[in-house]
This record gives sequence, C-alpha cells and structure tokens, in this order.
Amino acid sequence: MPNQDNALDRRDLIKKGLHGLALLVTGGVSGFLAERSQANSYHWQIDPSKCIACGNCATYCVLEESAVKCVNTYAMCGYCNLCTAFFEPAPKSLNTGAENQLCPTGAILRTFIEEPYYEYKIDESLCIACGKCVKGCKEFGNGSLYLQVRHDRCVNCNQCAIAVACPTQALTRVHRDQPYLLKGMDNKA
Amino acid sequence: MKSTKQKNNQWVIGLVIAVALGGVVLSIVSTDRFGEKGNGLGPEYQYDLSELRKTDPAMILYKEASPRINTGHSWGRAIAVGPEDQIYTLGGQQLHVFDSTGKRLPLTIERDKELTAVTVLKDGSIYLGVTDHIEIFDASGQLKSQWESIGSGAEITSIVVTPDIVFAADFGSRSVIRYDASGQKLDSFGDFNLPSNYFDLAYTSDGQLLAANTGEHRIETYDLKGNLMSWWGEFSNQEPDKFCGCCNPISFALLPGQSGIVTCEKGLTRVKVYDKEGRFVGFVAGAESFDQRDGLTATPEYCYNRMGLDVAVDSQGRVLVLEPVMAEIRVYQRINTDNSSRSQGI
Ligand code: SF4
Ligand code: SF4
Ligand code: SF4
Repeated sequence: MPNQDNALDRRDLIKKGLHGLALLVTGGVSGFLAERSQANSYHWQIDPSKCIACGNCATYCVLEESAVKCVNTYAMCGYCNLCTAFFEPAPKSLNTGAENQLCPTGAILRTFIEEPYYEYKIDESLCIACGKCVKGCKEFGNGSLYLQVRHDRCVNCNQCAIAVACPTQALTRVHRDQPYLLKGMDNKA
Repeated sequence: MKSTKQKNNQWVIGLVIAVALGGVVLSIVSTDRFGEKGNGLGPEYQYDLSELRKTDPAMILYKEASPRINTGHSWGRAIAVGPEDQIYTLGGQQLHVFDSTGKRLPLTIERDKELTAVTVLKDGSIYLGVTDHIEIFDASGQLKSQWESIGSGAEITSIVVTPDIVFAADFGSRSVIRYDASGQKLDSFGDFNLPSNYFDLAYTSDGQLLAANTGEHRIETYDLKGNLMSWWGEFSNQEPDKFCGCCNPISFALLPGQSGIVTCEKGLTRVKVYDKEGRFVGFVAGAESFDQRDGLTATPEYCYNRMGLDVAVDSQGRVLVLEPVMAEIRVYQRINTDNSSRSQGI
C-alpha cells in the first residue's frame, strides 16, 4: 500500500499546513497587535533641552488645537513679581492689564502668594503653544516654563507632524511609563 | 574589459549615490535650524528683543583690550582678582589661576563639591565657597581651614572678608551669614528677594557691605552689623541706565579707589558702569557683544545651569568678565575719553 502512507502524509501535510496557517495568522495577528501595542507604548514628547520655542508646535500639530501646551516646573520658578514670561518686555506698567501681558491669549494666570512672590499657572484651554512665554522665561528668568505634548490630547500619530517641522529635532519617543520630559532641579531633561 | 551591462550598472549606482548625497545635502541646507522659516503665527506671537539689545555706541566706554583668556573649565562660574593682579576662576569643582597676562599658573584646587564663590586676599589667601561651606587655602593652595556647613540647600554665592567679620551670601536662605575671623557663625541678616541663584557682595574701603538684591533690582548698602543703610537701582527693560529682567544685577565689582561699580546683567546680557552714588556712567559692553548665536543665550539650558556673567576688576582698572558658556575671560579697558562728559563720572 504504497499510497496509504502518501495519503496519510498528504492529510498530515494539509493538517500541518492548516495548523501552520493558523499559527501564522495567530502569530501575524498577535505580532501585529504586539507591534501596535508596542507602538502605543511609546509617545511623542518634547525634549526641553532641545526646544527653542520656535512656535511650530502651535501650527504644525494635526489637531486643530495643538496637543502641545506650556507647563511650569514650580521647583525652578522664581515666583518673580516681575515675571518676564507674564509681562511684555516693555510693559507700560506692572499690572495685569491685557496691554502689559505677554501671552497673546491671556493663558497665564498670576496669583499673589506672599510678598514679593507670585505664582504663574497656565490655563491649558487657552494656551496654543506659541512658545512666547517660554522665550520670555528663558531669556530673563529661570527657564521654568517649557512646552510638552499633553497625552490627554495627543492622538499619537505614527509620524508626529511637529517632529517633521521641528527645527531642532526636539521631538522624541518616550515610553508611556515616563511620558513627560520634565525639567527640574533633580530631573534635568 | 567591462561589459556594457556592467558599465550601465555602475552609472545607475553612481546616479543613486549622487541623488542620495544630494538629498542629504539638501536636507542639511534646508533644515530650519533656528526656526526662522516662520511658524505662521501673527506678529503678536513673536518675541523680539532685538531693539532692546541695541546699544548707543556713544555710551560704550570700554573696549576689549587683549585676546580672550581660555579658562580651561567646561563652563565658568566665578572670577576674582588677587595679588599682582592674578586671576582666579571657578568652573565645576576646580579653581584655576592665571597671571595678569592670562598665562595659566600651575596652581589648581579641586574639591568634591561645586565651587560656588571665590575671594582672594592681598596675602594670596583663597576663600572658597564650596557649595554649602567655606574653605580657606594659603597662596600655595594648602588647605588651612574648613568651616562648618551652613546646611542642606545652602549655596554660597559670594564671600567678603574684613579684618573682623567674614560675610557669606547664601542663596539657599536668601540671607547673608556673618562669621568671626575664626569661622564661628555669629548670625545672619536680610530677607533678600532672589528669584535665581545670583547673589553678589562687595566691601567698600569705608567699611560698608554692598549686596545685590536682584529681585528688587537694587544694590543695597549695609553696615557691618547688617543694618540696611541705603540702596539704589530700579527696573526697566527699555532704559539702559536701569536693571532689566526679573533679577539683576547678577554680579558686580568695585573699580579701583571705589570710584565706581561695574555691574553684569542677564536677559539683556550686558556690563555697565555706575558711579559710587549709583548714577549710570556708561557701558563696558552692550548686549550685542553677547550675541545669541555666540551660544550664550541660544541654548535652552541657559540659566538652567547658571550661565550668567561674573566680573572682577584688577588694580589697573581693567574689567575682567567671565563668560560662562565659552568659559572665557574677556578683558576690557577704558577707552580714553577725556573730553567726554560721561568720563567725568568716574
Ligand atoms: S517645533 Fe521643536 S523647537 Fe519649535 S516649539 Fe516645537 S519642540 Fe520647540
Ligand atoms: S504665551 Fe503662548 S505658550 Fe505661553 S501660555 Fe500663552 S499661548 Fe501658551
Ligand atoms: S503626534 Fe500628532 S497629535 Fe500628537 S503632537 Fe504630534 S502631530 Fe500633534
């Protein structure tokens, strides 16, 4: 019965083949999923030590309202009365009148703490990530204001449109366990 | 002999390499490294200090007198002048010494913490701020005394030595600590408004202590017990005779005979001269001298790593400015302007 073996072989082969195909499909799907979830494990983030606050973050994000926002590291902030991120470089007077404020959208909130200290908070709903205050803080102050991709807004594009436009290649991939590159006395970004 | 097919292959490979190289060159050339191609935002979103950085040339009273001195530090923190106009610089954990012409001398002091302040006496004794405490070395670099730490978070940014009292400016506590000559802490005074870690002191020959209260944009005068006697200085970003930004002047030094005070500012990085009553005299160097592209303010790390200028004056009245990013000393000499009214000020 020379062909029986062959027939069995063929059945075996088909079985094995189907099994293999199933494995391949499963492997492919799980590989695909793994790849996807691995891709999802990484997020785009701005390395503040590279960012020059060029303003592209405001206009190049695929979202209508940029996923990038300004943040303040309070450990570095001078709580200055004369905050150069809050006031225009040549303010008419040192009060919160709109004409004296540097932020074009009025996104920086100034709160008196105690003489002579003021706290500066960003209203993210108003911040468009133009980086103007970041420059003001960097030029005169302590550099405590900087830009970060906010992950509650970012849709994690495969290729971040800002990364392509960024003149200093400041956009980098970070693991989701540490999604922010925070400035700080002990956490130099 | 190569076949026509081989030759064609070589052409194709050559073409591909040329196109690839062209692409690389094009992408390097067309990369907008300084973000100058525009972000599409309106003028109200632009931050432009170029007008404020301009200096009236008639106000510049000094010129660079000699080649810049490379300190050999990876970045510079502080500068002082000692006997025979020797120059002492700090960078990281090291002190370097130069003769008055800028030639490096063999003495180097290295500690295991950042060196944050230096003062050198007439006999060559070196008082070093080693982050949170003072150490004293003799002229040959031998350790003579090590004082107690002020405490964690302390950062000694300036030291003044008088015959009886030693003063240490402590950024951590925003106060001046008084010690007796043996290093025993007496007390401290002041609640200075210091948004960033610049806090300089000087001692006048008529026995007064000068302190830069940077957040108030003032130079303040204290008696040796720490009582505030007087002050001068105010804020303006537009008026060059005033101090700019959130906190200035970041450093200062007295001219010979205490005829005037040289001040350094950050933000609008510049060096100016005032007479001893605090009247503006002119510029040693305007903000253009510290152009952004020199690297001084172009790096985002600016300020983050304490990148402000420090200054000392030697016995000939030369102004020595330590530029931290390049870790170079710029040597400025007064231009002879006898017929200038401004020159009468000092
Ligand atoms: S595009 Fe790059 S340099 Fe410009 S603001 Fe965004 S991160 Fe900073
Ligand atoms: S100045 Fe620009 S970056 Fe800063 S808070 Fe306002 S909108 Fe945001
Ligand atoms: S990944 Fe997409 S959504 Fe997120 S910042 Fe970049 S362009 Fe915007």
